[in-house]
Parts: sequence; structure tokens; C-alpha cells
Amino acid sequence: MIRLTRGHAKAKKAAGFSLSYLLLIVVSLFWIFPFVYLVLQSVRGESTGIVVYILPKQFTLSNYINLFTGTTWKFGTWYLNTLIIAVCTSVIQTIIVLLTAYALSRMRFKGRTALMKFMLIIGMFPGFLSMVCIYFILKAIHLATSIFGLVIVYCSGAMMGYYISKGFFDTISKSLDEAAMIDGASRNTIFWKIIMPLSQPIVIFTILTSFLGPWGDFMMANFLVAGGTQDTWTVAVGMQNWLSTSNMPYYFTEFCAGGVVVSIVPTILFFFLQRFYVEGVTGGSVKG
Amino acid sequence: MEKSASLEYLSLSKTERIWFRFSHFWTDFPLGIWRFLKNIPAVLWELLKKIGAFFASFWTMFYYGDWKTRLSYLVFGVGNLTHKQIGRGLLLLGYEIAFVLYMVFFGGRYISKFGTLGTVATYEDPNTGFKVIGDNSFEILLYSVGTFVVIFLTIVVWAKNVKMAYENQQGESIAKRLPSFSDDARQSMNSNFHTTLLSVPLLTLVLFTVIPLFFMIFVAFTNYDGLHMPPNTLFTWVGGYNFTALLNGNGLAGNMANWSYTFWNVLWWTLLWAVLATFSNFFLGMLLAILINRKGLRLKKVWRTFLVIVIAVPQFISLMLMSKMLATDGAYNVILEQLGWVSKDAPIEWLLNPWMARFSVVMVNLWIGIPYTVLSSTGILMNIPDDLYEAARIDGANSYQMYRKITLPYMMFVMGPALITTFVGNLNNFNVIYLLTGGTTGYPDDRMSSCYAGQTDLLITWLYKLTVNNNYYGIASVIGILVFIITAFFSLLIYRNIGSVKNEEDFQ
Repeated sequence: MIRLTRGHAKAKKAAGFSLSYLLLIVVSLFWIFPFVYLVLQSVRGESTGIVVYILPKQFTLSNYINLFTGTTWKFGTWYLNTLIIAVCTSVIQTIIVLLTAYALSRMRFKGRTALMKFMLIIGMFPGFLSMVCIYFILKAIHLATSIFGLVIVYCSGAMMGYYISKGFFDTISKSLDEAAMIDGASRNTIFWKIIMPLSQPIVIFTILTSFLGPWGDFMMANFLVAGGTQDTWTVAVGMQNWLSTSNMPYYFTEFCAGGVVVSIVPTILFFFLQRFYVEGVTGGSVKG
Repeated sequence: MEKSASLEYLSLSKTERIWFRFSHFWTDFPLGIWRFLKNIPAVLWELLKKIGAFFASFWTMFYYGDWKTRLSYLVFGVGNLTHKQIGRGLLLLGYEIAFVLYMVFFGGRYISKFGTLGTVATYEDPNTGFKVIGDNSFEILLYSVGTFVVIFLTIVVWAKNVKMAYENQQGESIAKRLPSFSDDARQSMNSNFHTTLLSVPLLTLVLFTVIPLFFMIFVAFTNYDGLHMPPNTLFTWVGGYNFTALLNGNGLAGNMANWSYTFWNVLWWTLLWAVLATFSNFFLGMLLAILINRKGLRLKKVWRTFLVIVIAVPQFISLMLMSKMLATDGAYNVILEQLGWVSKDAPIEWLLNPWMARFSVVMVNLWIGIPYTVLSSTGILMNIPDDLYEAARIDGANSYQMYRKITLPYMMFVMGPALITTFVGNLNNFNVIYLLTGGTTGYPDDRMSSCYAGQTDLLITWLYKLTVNNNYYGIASVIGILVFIITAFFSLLIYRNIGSVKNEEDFQ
């Protein structure tokens, strides 16, 4: 058996670390390359299509300016639509999720487990399946191809997303409720005065995820509003047109610029709220 | 796992243990299914008994009830109005009137045609040239489903109404103070708070999820497709025809014979994809998280931020961009050409060659998914008590052993439930497939493309294409139902073994 001297051990450890660093650098390169590419193409000045090299020869901001001043495509409108949809969805969905999670976590009532099982089963059907029917319902109330129709679609299954919040509420000790009840507080008071202030991380997490869902959604938006006029499109629906075979030679760089602009909002949100995101993903679901 | 704890198991050698578990998996599995099936009659019998008891209790109440209780079997709210509960009584009476009006003027019209889904098609009158509007199968089916829900609700309200009347009668006989309307209002904020909380969410769920879902389940048994499109043409019940076409196309003519071929092809790829995507993501993501969290490693935050960027950029952008970067003249081929690894004449067909395309989507999914795994496992890794590792180190364990015996079991324990969700999510991973390849490849399989599917299509993207572009609603609904069955199967399989579901109260 070879006895390692102190120097040996140190060298071995350093070697291990440098291997780790090398690995991490390679991994990081793989991960950020598409974004570097996105940003580089968005400031490329010499051609608007796809080119067979990566570094642009001329730099320009005209792609960004074109986004908002161009007349054929109304990127500004799409952006505003997406923002309105995401904010409305986020508010409504958060309220629904928190109410449901609180009721299912804190109250014991007849039909509670039945309701939870029912939602579990309903949730196993692909959500898109019901779209054909929802489209008709929305048409009947004159909301198809309207951005508020999309809000309804995004919020339709909101109740079934209660799991993580319920997991969080479950971790708040019930003795708090009992103490408050002895002091004469009603369930309503407990919800607003005790549970809510303690649940800041999960509230922010719910707001964040329910905002990002519609912000990046393609499937539902493409189905519902792509057939309508440009005024009802979201960024996802609009920007896919720029990558069609006939449009790509003229709009590829603009697509990249649009991509950067669309990514700004979630990036800012993540930058400030990453802590809550991690807490939500782990804290709420750690129930193994 | 009482088997693994038994002495017999412990006495086995390592390879024997693996064999033991492997063989037991295959015997336990059918056993579990058999047990499940065996339980069905008992469960149904229990349900029947409960329903019987439910109706029996109404007979008892009718038998012992006074005229007020008995009248409330027919007229809602009598039992409340006659006991000075004016608010409750008026609400119930109002509900009944609304229900009757609804059934007479709206629901009844549609429900009577539910059996045929309409008989009179829209046609052009040859004499006048005007369009004569006939039945609309879609509306008949949809409003019938809506009416079923209303009828179900009415039965619930009726039962509640009768029970209240009977309780009031009993309360009166012992001179108990009956709750007033303001009591009800107060209780709705306290002991009945769940009703208040859940009413709005439930309404949206029923209206926009439950009714549409039942509608689509019914559609699976109709011939609703491009040739049978309301309002111009009718569609009707065809029984299990769509199911047969998909599962066993033998004996069907022409194009229809291809449906089952396509279905089985799409199905095995969906399952393979879900397994590959879930486990590659989980294990590689965990390894990366362990690497980043190594004690003494610098710039932890920087590495993590590089990964988190992927989450911040909306998927439709990164995936659409990726699909262009993976083209034959895309960025990846350009780089490989410049490095001299790939010749310009024979670029790598990332998304064109069927097997290459399948490989690419799994890789891109890693790129999308690993950051989530790293984020969530970082928190869990930090929670593993340090003394476990300390003890292992003192006992002379190397880092692989520590990973195998401490980290992995701990992670599996905590992230097991999340693994099911990821697996099910991957079965239905629309974005990665649809935005990258659109389901198709450069070398289409003719039999599959005649059914609007390609070699990388998942069931969900196929369903999407069938409904959005091709109006095959009947077949699409069958696919949806089969997706449900697959999802339910895997969820049940894994759910049975998870304690957190069974002993929910233990954690509170």
C-alpha cells in the first residue's frame, strides 16, 4: 500500500478540483452558447437572414428599433397583450390556488379526500384535450380570439395546481390556528392574519410561476388566437411567423432581438426572486 | 419492503440480492394488479350499499316526517320557510324555480336529442334557396353534458334540502333554536369557511375543465371529424369504432388500417422518450448539482447562474432558436465544420435523420431540464446532515460509496414524488417536441404521415396536430383517453409505494 504524504494528498485534491472546474467550464459553455448566439445574432447588421458564421461583422441596434417601429408586424401590441394576459392570469391563478390550498390543508370537511382524488384523476387527462370544447364555449360568450379568452383558458385548471402551496401550508404548525381559535378568531381571520403573513415565500412562488406560464406559452395561444387578427396575438404566436421558410431571410435577426426583449422580464423576475423559487420547489414539495 | 428486511434477504450475497429484487418485481407487479382488480367488486358493492343506505335514509325521513318535511320532498325550501328560516327557504325555492325553467326552456330540448345527437341536418331548400338550420350535434352534446351536471347538482341540493327540513322538524320538537340566516353568514367565515373558499375555484374547474373533459370523452365514441362538422353536417355515435381503429386496425380498409400502425409507433416512442428524458435529467442533473456543491469549490453562484438563464428565457424562444441552430446549415454544424470535424458536404442531420432527431430531442431536453433539477436538488443536498458524511469518512468510505449509500438514497427519498410528476410531464412534453421538430423528420414514414404523425411525435403532439390542423376530434379524444390510462397506470404504480400520500397527517 502506498502511503500518501501530505504534499501528495494536496496535489491530488487540487487535481480533482481542476478537473471539476474544467468540467464545469465545458458544461457552462454548452449551456450559455445558445444565448450568446441569440444576443450576437440580434445585433448583427449585415444581413437579416441566417448566415454560415457566428460572429457578426457589423453591429447594430436597428433590429431592436425595428421591433417597435416596423409596420408589417405589431410586436409592441403582442408584447403588451402578453403582459396583460400574464398579469391577469397570475393574479387570478394565485388567488384560486391559495384559497384551494388553504381549504384543503387546514380544514377537514366531508368530501375533502374525494375532491382531492377527483382533481388528481382529472389532472391525468391531457389538458389540451378540452380545448376544442373550451374554444366553443368561449365563442358562445364572444371571447374566442380575445386575450381575455386566453386568460380564462390559463386559469381554467388553476385549482388543480394546489399541491405545492398545500405542502407549504401543511408545514405551518396547527397549534397556531388552535391558539388563535381559542382567542376567538374565525377561520377567515386566521387565514388573513396568521397564515398569509407566514406564507410570503409560497405566495411569491405562486405569483412567479403563474406569471411565467402564460408568458412563455405557445400551445394554447397558438390554438386560440393564431386565427385571429394580429391585435390579439401574443409574442409566441407572432414570433413564430418570423421563422417560417418565407419570412426567415428577412426576419431572423429580428426574431433574435425579440427573443432578447421577451426574456428581459423573466430574467429580472428570476434575478430578484430566485430565492423564493428554490424555496418553493424544494420547501413546498419536500414531503417524501 | 418487509421482504428486504427479512433475515433470508440479508443472508443473500450482493448479486443474489439484485436477482431477488428483480424477480420479485415481476411477481409483485402482476400480483398488485390482480389485487387491484380483485378489489373492484368489493369496492363497487360498498358503493352500492352506500347508495342504498342513502335512499333508505330518505325513506325513513319521509316516513317519520311531518307534512312540512314531506312537502319539501317536492317543493324545495318548505321545511325552512315554515321554520322561520326565510333566507335559506327563499334561496332553495328560487333554485328549484330556476331549475325547472332551465329544464323546460333549455336543457330538456338538448337532452331529449342526446341519444341520436340530432337527426335533421342543415340543408338548402331547393325551392327557396334558403338555408334551413337543422340540428347541431356539437351543441346537443355540449349542452347535454352541461345539463347532466346541473341535474347532479340539483340532486345534491334536493338531498340537502330534505335533510335540513328533517333536522328542523327534530330541532323544533326539542325546542332547539334553529340557525338563522345571519348565523349562516357568520359560519361561512368560520366553520363553513371551506365552502366560501372553494366555491369560486370549483365553479371555474367545473365550467372550464370538467364539462369540456366529459364532452371530449363522449366525443371519443362519435365520428366527429372533418367530414362530420357541425353546424353543416351531423355527427353521431359510433360506439367503440375509434378505439378499434387505433388499437387494432386489422380488417379496416385503406387509410384506416394505418391508424393503429401509427398509434403503436407513436406510443413506444412516447414511452421510450419519457423514460430517457426523465432519468437522464434526474441523474445527470443530480451529478451536476453535487459537483457544484462540492465543498471548497469556488464561484458556486456563477455556475448556477449560467444554468438558471435557461429557465429565465421562455421555452418557445430557446426551442425555436435551437431548431434553427440544429439545421444542416445551423450554428452547430458551422462550428463543427470550422473545427474540421464535419465536412461541409455531409453535415450532421441533427433533426432530419429519425434516430438522430430522437437523440437530439433528448439532448435538448437535458439542456432545458437539468437547470430545474440542479435548482431543486441544491436545496436538498444542503439539507443532508453533515455528520452522515463525517461518520462515513471515519469508517473509510470513498466518495463513490458515500454517493451510493447516502446522497442517492436521500435524494430518491425526497425527490421520488417529483420524479413521477416529471415522468408524467415528459409523457406530455409538448414544447420540446413540437417546437424542435414539429414531430416530423426529413425522412417521413408514409404510413405514419398519412395519419398526420412523424417519427418524433409524442401522443400529445399527435393529438394537437389532429385537432388543430386536421379536425379528427373523435380519434384525438381516444388518444387523450389512452394518455390518461397510461398516466394513471404509472402514477398508481409509483403512488402505492409513497408514504407521504398514505400518512398525510404525519407531517402536520
